[in-house]
Amino acid sequence: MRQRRFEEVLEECISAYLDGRRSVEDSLALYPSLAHQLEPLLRAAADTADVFRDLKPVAGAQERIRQRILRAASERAAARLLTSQIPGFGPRRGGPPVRWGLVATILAWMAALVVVSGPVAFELLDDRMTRREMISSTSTARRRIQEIRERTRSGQPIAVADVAALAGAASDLAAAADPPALAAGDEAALQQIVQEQLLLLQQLSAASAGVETEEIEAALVLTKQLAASLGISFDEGQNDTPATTAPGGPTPEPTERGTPSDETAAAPNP
Amino acid sequence: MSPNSNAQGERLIVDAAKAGDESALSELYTLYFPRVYRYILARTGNPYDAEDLAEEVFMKVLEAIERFQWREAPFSAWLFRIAHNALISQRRKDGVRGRSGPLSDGLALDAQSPDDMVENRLALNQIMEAARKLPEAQRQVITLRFSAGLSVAETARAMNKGEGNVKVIQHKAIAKLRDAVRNRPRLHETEKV
Repeated sequence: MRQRRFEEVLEECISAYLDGRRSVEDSLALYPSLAHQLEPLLRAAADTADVFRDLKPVAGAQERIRQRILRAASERAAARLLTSQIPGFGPRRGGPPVRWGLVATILAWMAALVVVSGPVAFELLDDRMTRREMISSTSTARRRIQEIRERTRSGQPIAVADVAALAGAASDLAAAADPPALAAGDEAALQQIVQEQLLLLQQLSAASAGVETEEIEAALVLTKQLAASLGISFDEGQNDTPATTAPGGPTPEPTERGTPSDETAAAPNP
Repeated sequence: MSPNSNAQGERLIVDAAKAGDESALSELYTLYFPRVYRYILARTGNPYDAEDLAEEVFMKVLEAIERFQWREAPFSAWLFRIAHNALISQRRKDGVRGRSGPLSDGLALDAQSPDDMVENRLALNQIMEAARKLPEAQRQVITLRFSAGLSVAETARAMNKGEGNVKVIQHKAIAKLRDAVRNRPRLHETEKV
């Protein structure tokens, strides 16, 4: 009991010192009956607090890191804003923001791309690719999808960079398919997937104004190359408006927030 | 001074940061970066590691702040749990039990004169060396209380312990540090001799 009281008093004196309310001497005067026990402990605590309090980051480091943190925050906010206009991608009411819609849609596209282009490409091995190249190409795409899936499972949000990475996977898969040799049904399915991906990236591109623009544009270029190889027509206008053959009709003009207001324009093709 | 002295104001800032307000995030950073840096430096002894890890901590805060719940812990306790986990993760990567040692020249210390700076550095090295020999719980209490500036209540929440337990641990840790600090040579005393 007595020991417990001493610990209470010691803590009270330490807190008073750390908060700048009392010096060690003031505390000793306040508890004269415990001063003998308190003094060495309080002085040790005060010395420890003093040397730690003097520690400072190297000049400029704090501000430099702040800029990186704020830049990352801006990127996240931009990604959130961009995806919030797309059905199923935005935050849910009453719960944490979830981008499962975005993840699921992208994964579905890529999985379909793997399914469609894989068998097709294997039929074309004699003409265009060796079997090893084909496996490598599809493996890369699958690995990227797996990475995204693992990140999602661990609760990490999906960034615009992931869109770029998946577009890279699309490019890899495109290399596995030789459009002129595709069967009519396979080519139509592949066109649809690429068209949807192109539409999403065009919308992201039209609405983006931040640091993520380069990533989106890079993904867009890759997807356009794939689209061109599949014979999909699309405008090369300022905002890269979607292809005339794109599902869902024409893309609306960007709103004041810089994102398309008509959600149906971004809806995946049924 | 603990940010808890203005708990309501901090709550508003944290809630704004949760909602994506970048200026609120910047305020939180201003409020907590020096404390996180000091906490990590006190544990690692390396100012460059401390900078890197402090940045990593705030990146994790940025990723997770939307999920932060007030009912689970005060913000400070939540933040320093993240910092502690980052330290443990770094330690695993390094494959050693901490990398504390003499502080490098890259360390910035508040001091009025070169003599003060030398004395501060000596004192810091000595206290950190003594702290390094403490059991993990005692070491964590000392760094959370004295370098991060957490209250006993916040320290208890950050460590998932009772406040009474933290006070006992603190008492034991200070008693062990006492000898190291008491025997510390001071520059001016040395000159007099």
